[in-house]
Amino acid sequence: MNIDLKELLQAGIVDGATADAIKAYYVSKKQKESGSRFFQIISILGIVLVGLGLILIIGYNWFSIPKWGKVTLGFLPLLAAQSVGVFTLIKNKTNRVWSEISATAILAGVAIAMSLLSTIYNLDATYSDLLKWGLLLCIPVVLVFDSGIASLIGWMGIGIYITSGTFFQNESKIVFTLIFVAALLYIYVKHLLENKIDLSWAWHHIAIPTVLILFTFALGPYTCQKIMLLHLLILFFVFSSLPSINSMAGRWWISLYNIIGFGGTYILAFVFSFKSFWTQRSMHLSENCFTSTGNYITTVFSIVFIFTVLYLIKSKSWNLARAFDMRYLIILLGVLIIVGHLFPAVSSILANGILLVSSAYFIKEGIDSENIVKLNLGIVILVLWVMFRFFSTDIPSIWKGIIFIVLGLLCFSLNYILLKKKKS
Amino acid sequence: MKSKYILLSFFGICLVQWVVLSGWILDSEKIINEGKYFKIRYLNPNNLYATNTNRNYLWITPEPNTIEFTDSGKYVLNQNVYIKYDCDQYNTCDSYRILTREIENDPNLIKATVESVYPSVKNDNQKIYIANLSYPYTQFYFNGKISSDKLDLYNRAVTDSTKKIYIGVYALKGKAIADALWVGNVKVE
Repeated sequence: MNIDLKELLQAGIVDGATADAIKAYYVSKKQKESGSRFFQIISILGIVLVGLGLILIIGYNWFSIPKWGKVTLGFLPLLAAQSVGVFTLIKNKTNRVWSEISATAILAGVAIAMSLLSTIYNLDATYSDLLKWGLLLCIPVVLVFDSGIASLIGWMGIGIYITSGTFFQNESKIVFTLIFVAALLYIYVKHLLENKIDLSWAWHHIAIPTVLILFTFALGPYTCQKIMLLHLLILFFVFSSLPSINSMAGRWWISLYNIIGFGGTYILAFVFSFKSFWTQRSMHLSENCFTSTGNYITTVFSIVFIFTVLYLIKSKSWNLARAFDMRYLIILLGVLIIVGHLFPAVSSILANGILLVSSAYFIKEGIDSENIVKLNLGIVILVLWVMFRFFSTDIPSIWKGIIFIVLGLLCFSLNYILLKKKKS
Repeated sequence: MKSKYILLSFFGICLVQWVVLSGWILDSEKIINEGKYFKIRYLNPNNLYATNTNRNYLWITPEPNTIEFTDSGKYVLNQNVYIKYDCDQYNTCDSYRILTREIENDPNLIKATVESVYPSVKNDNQKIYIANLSYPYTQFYFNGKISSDKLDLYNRAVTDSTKKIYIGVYALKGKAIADALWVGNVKVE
C-alpha cells in the first residue's frame, strides 16, 4: 500500500493530506481487525473451556440427576444450536462462518440428544438405526445452511451407516442410503457448477468417491460378486469421464477422481489376472446373478453408464479416435467379467495381456513424449505384474533373482535414456 | 422472499427434530407405564467394572439366545418369533415357549428376530440347525449409582452357577426396554 501511495503521490493523483488520511485509515482498520480476531480466538477458547467444564460437572453428577433432568440436559444443546441457527438466518445469512458454525452445532445437538436419550431410556435402537435417524434429521440442515463442514460430516455418517450392521439383510437401508447420497450429491454438484469450492468442499473430492466405492461394495451381496465388479467398473468409468466434461475440465480436483478411477481400474485388472480369481466358488454363482432380488440396483448403474456414454458422445467430449483411453480399458475389463463366466482361463490370460500391453504403452509413450511420470508408471505396472506372477506360479528362486535384476536394470536404463534425451 | 422461505423451512426442520426425538421419549414412557414387567434370565453375564473396562453398560444376551431344530425350513433368516414367558408372582420368568405366530392381546410375549441360521452336528451325530435370535433390547446402560455391596453381589453371581442373574424388561406389543439388573430377587441398580 505504501508503494502504491508513493506512486500516486508522485503522479499527482492524490495530495499529501489525502495520502496521510488513507494511511491512517488502513492502520486503524488493521488494528481494529487484529483486535477483533484476537477477541474471536479468546471467545472460542473461553466457550470451549466453559463447555468442557460444564460437561465434566454434569458427567460427575450424572447418576444423581433425575431422569427428567437428564432428558432436559440432553435437549439443551439442540435448543441452543437451533437458536443460533435462527439468529444466523435472520442476521448473518451471508456470513459463511456463522452458517458453518450453526449447521455443525445443530448436527452436534441432534447427536447429543439422540445418544443421551438412547442411554437414558435404553432405547430399542441399534447404532445403524441411530445413524439413520441422525442423517434424516440433519441432511435438511445442510441444505438450508449450505454448509461444507456439515455436508462432510454427513458423508462420513453415510460411510459409517453403510459399513455398520448387516447391510445385505436390510433392503430399506439401501433405499435410505440412496436418498442420503442423492440429497448430499445435489448440494455438492451445485457447488461444483458454481465453482464455489473452499477447503471444506475440497475434502468432498476424497470423501464422495470413497463413500460411493464403499456403497458399491456393500451392495455386492444384494446382487452377486460378478455384478458388483461391473458396478465398480461403471463407477470408475464415471470418475474417468469427469475430465472430459467441458464445464469441469481443468479444475484441480478432477485429478483426484482421475487417480481414483485409474488406481481402482488397475487394481481390478491385477485381481482379474489371477487364474484362481476366476475359479473361486463365489465367481461360479453367476446363475444367481441374473435372478437376484437386487436387479434394480444393476438397472440404476446401467442407466448411469448409458447416460454418461450418451452425454460424452453428444457433447463430443470423448475423443473416440484416441488410441489409449482409460475408458476403453474399463469396458474391456467389463467384457472380461462376462467372458470369464464361460472361459475362466481365457479371461485370466486376457487380463495379463491387457496389463502387459498397457505397461508397454506407458513406457513407449513416456519415452516418445519425454514424460518421466508415464515411463515410470509403465515400469511400475510391469514390476507389479512380475511380482504377482511370482505368487501365482512356481518359479525357481534363481530365476526370480535374475528377473528382478533385469527389471532393475531396465528401470535404471530407461530413465537414463529419457534423461539423456531430455538434456540433448 | 427467498430468505423468508429458508427461515420457514428451518422452523419446519426444527419442529421435525423435536417431534421425532420427543416421540422416542413418549414411546418409551408408554412402554414403561403400560407394559408388562419381565425378569428374564441373562445368559453369560459380564463382570461389571472389571479391570481395564470401567464401562457403564452391558451387552444383553437374554434367554433363549438360540433355537435348535431339525426341520431346515422351520426358522429362516429375518423371521419374527414370539417368546411366551411363564413368570411367577415376582415377574421372574424361568421357562418359556417359542411361537412362530403372535397370539393377539397376549401381554406375555416378547418379539425376537432370527438373526442367523447355520447347520451343526450334535454329540450323537444328529444333524441339527441353530438359529440365533436378536431382541429389541441389546444394551443396558446404568443410569444410577451402584452401591459397592450390590456390585460385589453381582460380580460374585457372575461366577456362581447357583445364582441366577436377570434383566428386568418392560414390554408392550413386541417392543421392549431394559430397565434393571437383578440377582435373584435383589435389584442391582
